[in-house]
Order: sequence, then structure tokens, then C-alpha cells
Amino acid sequence: MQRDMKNKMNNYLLNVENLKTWFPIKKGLLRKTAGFVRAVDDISFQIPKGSTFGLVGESGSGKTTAARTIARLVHATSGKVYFNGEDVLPLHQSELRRIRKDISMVFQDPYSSLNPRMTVGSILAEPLKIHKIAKGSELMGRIATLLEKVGLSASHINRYPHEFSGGQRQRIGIARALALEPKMVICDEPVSALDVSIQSQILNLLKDLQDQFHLTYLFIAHDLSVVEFISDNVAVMYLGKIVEIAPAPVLYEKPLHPYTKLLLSAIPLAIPQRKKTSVHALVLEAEASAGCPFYGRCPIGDDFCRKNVPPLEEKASGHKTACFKV
Amino acid sequence: MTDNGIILSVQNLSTFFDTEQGTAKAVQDVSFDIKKGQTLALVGESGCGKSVTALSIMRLIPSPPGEIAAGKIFFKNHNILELPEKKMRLIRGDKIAMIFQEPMTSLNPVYTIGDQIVEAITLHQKKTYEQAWQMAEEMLAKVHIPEPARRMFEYPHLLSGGMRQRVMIAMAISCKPSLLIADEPTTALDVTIQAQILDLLDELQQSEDMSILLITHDLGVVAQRADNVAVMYASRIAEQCSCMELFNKPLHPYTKGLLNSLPQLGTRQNRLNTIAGNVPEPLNFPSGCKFHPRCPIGCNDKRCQTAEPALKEVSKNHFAACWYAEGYEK
Repeated sequence: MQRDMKNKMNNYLLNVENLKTWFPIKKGLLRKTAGFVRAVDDISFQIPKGSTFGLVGESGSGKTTAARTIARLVHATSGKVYFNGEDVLPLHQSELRRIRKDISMVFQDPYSSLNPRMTVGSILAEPLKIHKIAKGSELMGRIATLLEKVGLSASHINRYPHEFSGGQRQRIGIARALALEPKMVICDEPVSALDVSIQSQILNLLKDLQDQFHLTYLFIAHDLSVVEFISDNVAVMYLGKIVEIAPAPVLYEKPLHPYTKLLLSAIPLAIPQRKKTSVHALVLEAEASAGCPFYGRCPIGDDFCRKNVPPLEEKASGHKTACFKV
Repeated sequence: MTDNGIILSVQNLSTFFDTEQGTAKAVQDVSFDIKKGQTLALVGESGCGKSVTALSIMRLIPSPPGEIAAGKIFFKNHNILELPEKKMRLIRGDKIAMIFQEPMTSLNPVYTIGDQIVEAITLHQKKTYEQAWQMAEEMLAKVHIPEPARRMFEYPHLLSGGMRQRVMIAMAISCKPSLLIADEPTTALDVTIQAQILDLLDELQQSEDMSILLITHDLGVVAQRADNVAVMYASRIAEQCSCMELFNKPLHPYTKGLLNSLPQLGTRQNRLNTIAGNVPEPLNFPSGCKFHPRCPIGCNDKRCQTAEPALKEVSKNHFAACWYAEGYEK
């Protein structure tokens, strides 16, 4: 039994089990903890090696917090995060450097995620120096190769970030993420700050790099069409919980959860027709019920939903959703 | 001009900015009309001049360094560029209102929602404070904010992004403007909230017979909300036509490229089509047609590299600025 578990885990590069990240709300003079913001509330998912896992949801759904917790940038409240079979959450600060080499991040804003006082060369050299991977002429050689990999040229080494456009900056951010030859890259909204014509360039680049280096991506975005393009599996988050999880083609063809359906129906398609989207998403905040978190916005929720929390259950092969009405 | 229902007519507008590196030609020779009750979408990527066009219409270009170098803007038959600032103030916020992109930063954090809307009303209409307060509350109800009476006393930080954008809209429509300029009104919002805000604008447009200049980079939003579209690229209009026509029969290579590079929902694509290169910056525009370095036709064509094509009518009500557009007279 235990061996089975272990085998299973080995196929997954990342295995998240019951992860919770709660932030305390401090009140009063003595800063007593008055309650918790349940940013990530008991989520579990697995990412097979070399695949892309998309995490979607509206702002405040906890997708970024989940990613930051996995990268150990935010302290987890409870749960387990197995990376390559090893639980990274109990790791001591000194052991973390080993993990950080294997998990890197690409951030949303290419303007604020690069230090304006550092040249492109020094931005890319920093991780290589810290991890004592290369120095001298070898270092320069590696930086040049990195730049070429992401579609820039070695002549850009001595330039500063402000000399580049948004798309080029995001390429620098990607080069930095790849500098240590990571196994997994967490992409947090990597294209949402970019123009349409640049967005497709970066998405293609990410796909090419994945094929070339057998990378595993955890891809966070709010744009469902972008996520569909890049992901193998997709999880939809709502108020800290995963409400639906399925292989990408299945999720987009046969969404089960009313929230996923709502999200999909709200996307404005580039087909000219003036139509009314009947999206009722006005949340009555007072309605924070003890039951299903989506109850307040759900078109089909009933009294049972209001009182009971639906578990995430497998409804078809590989397709899980948390809804009583499916 | 009012006879044919045109409420705003922008003619050959050029707006330049003086910078240390030279003159940045942010908007060049832009012309378009908006009819009463219709929506014109101005689409383009960052830095193409769409927001500067909007600010020029509002006469909010900071001067110096900015300057409206040429052109006329007729609003209800009057060239508003010739109005003295005092008169312009009466129009701005009253007959022409604007919603900005960032609902987070465009409300004043130290005044309550109510006070801010009341200010907008009392500036333009002869109302007592009590009457204006009453009106403001009605406006909040109109933009579907729950419990408007309570919200009036709240500060902006208590509201979510979508709610703040609703407040901005309430403020903008409080004086019943004939033209609403919406500069990326939903870009900072989630898709579900975006759909609601756009529905709300639609609803208000119909009930008030308001014209809308919708500035956006999202072609999906354009497809569903606009009557006419102008695509801007590097300070000029590249293509202009009805919304239907643009999506069904795009003529400019840039428009085609944009439409092709969108990830299509529901189709498993292996690769996305792209437009090569980067958006040029106003200080370093390429010679000739500004799109030629990125254009599949223009990159190897002598004429495209040297001569800039003007915007011409290529078929009925369909304008394009490309030497190779079907129907373009050379």
C-alpha cells in the first residue's frame, strides 16, 4: 500500500495535499486574533512531470497565495506539499536554497519585477553566482545562451530594464527563471500585463521552452482562453477552494460546476454580436453562509447547499467538482 | 451636422508632446465621427495614442509638454478646441463625461462616495445640497449598487474594484452626458464583473440615448459592444469600419494579425499565431508605413518602407491605411 503511494507520487513532480493558508485578522489594542482570512482553504492537486497545470479564478480567489505558499514565500497553515516526493513545508530555511533552485517564478508585472538599477547581465548572473554554478567567462557564456533561448540577443547584456518594452522585459523575467535550470516554473499571470500581439509571442515561447527543457508549469491566470491554450489540467478556484478540476479539454467542453459555467459565459468572444450576458454575480456579502461558498451567486443553489459544504468529488474519470447539483 | 445625428466629429487631430529626446507624435491625423446613441470603439495596443485621443477630446492634455498641434473637434457643431477654458469646464463632466481605467486611483480616498458624486452634480446643475444628495443616491441605485443610502456615507476603500467602477459610472452619468468616454473601463476587473459593467453601460446607453467612445485593447469586448471600430496603430488609425465588417472582413494586416493572435476558446491550438516584433515607441517610429517592420507584406516592400499610406475609403464605410488593402487606390 505504502509502496503504491510512493510510486504514484513519483510520477508527480508536485503533489499538494490539503494545503491551507490562513491569515490571522488582528483586532484591538492587544492585536488579538479575531478570526482568519482563509485565503487557501484545503486544496489538493497533483502536477505530472512535464505538464502544465492551470489555476484560474477571480481576484481574491487565492490562486496567487497558493502558488506563493508552494514556493515557500508564504507560511502554510497546514497541509503537505510534496515536490519530487519530498515534503517542502517542514524544510528549514537553510535547506530551502536547494528547493529554490528547482522551483522558480515568473511574475505578472514585467515593470516592477526587474530591479531598475541592475543591468540585464547582472540580473541573470545573480542566481548563478548565489548558487555557485558558474563564474568568469563561463558565466557570461551562460547568460548569452539564456538570452538567446528567450529570443533576445547577447548584445543586450549591458542594458538596463527601462530600455526594453513590456514583452522584452517579460522575456528577461523568463530568462531569469530559467537560469538555474529549474524543474518547475510557477508563472503568476505572466501575460496579463502584455499587449495582445505580444501575449501570443510569450505564450508560444513558454510552450517551446517547456518542450525543450521538459519543464513543469504551474500557470496562474484569470484569462480562461489563455489557460486553455497552455494547460493540460485546469483547476478553478473560488474563495480559497478548488471547485472544479479536470483535464483542460474536458473542463472547457463539459464544465460541471455553476461557477465554471459562469466564468466561461462571461468571456467576451471575438465574434461580433451584441448580446447580453446574463451574469448575475452580485454577491450579497451578508450571505456568507455555512454551506457552499458559491451559494450567494449560484443560480441553482437551494437550502441544502446553504447549509452543507459540498466535497470535491470525482464525477467522471479525472473530472472532480464540488457541487451537490451535478 | 446635428441633422445626420453626429454628436462628435474629430477631424485631423494631432497631439504632440515635447520631450527631451524630441517631439513625440502621440496622435497624428486622427478623424472619426460618433453618432447619437452609438458606440465607437477605439482599439489598439499600449502607446498607440488611444488614451491621448480621449484626453484631447476632454481637453485634458497637460500643456506643456503636450499640445494639440492640429485638427478640430466638433461637439454638437461647436469646435471645442476654440472654447476658452472657462466654457470648456461647463462642458467637461456635464455634456462630455469620462470614466478612467483605474477605479482604485480615480476616486478621492478622503471623501465619502456621496460627497464626491454630489460635488459633480452641484458643479453643473443648480441644485441644493439636499437635492443633489437625493440625486446621487438615485444614481447609485441606477448603477445597481446595493443599499445606496448606506453606501453614500462610505469611503472608496470600503468598496471592491467593481463597485468603485460603478461609483465612477454613477458620477459620470449624474449630469446625463450626451457623450461618455470610457477609457479601458473594465481592464482592471474580473471577467464576471466586466460583463456586468458592460451590461450596465449598454442599459444606460439605451435609456439615456448616450453616445459612447469605448477605448479598449480587448477585441472580445469590442465584438460584443461596439457599433463601429477604429483600430489605432502607432499614433494613426489603421482601419475603420463597422464592427461586423472588421471581424468578418479585416483588411489591414495589423488588424488581421491581431485577430489571428487571439487564443480561441474551445479550440485546442498547438501554437498561437503571432505578430513579430514589438510595438514601436512614439520617439522611434519607423519610416514609411509604421507597421512595415512587423508586416508580412511590408517588411520586404520598398514602397511600404518609404511612403506612409493615408487612411482611405476602400469600400463603402470601410477605411484602411495600407498600400495592399483590397480596393486601396494607389
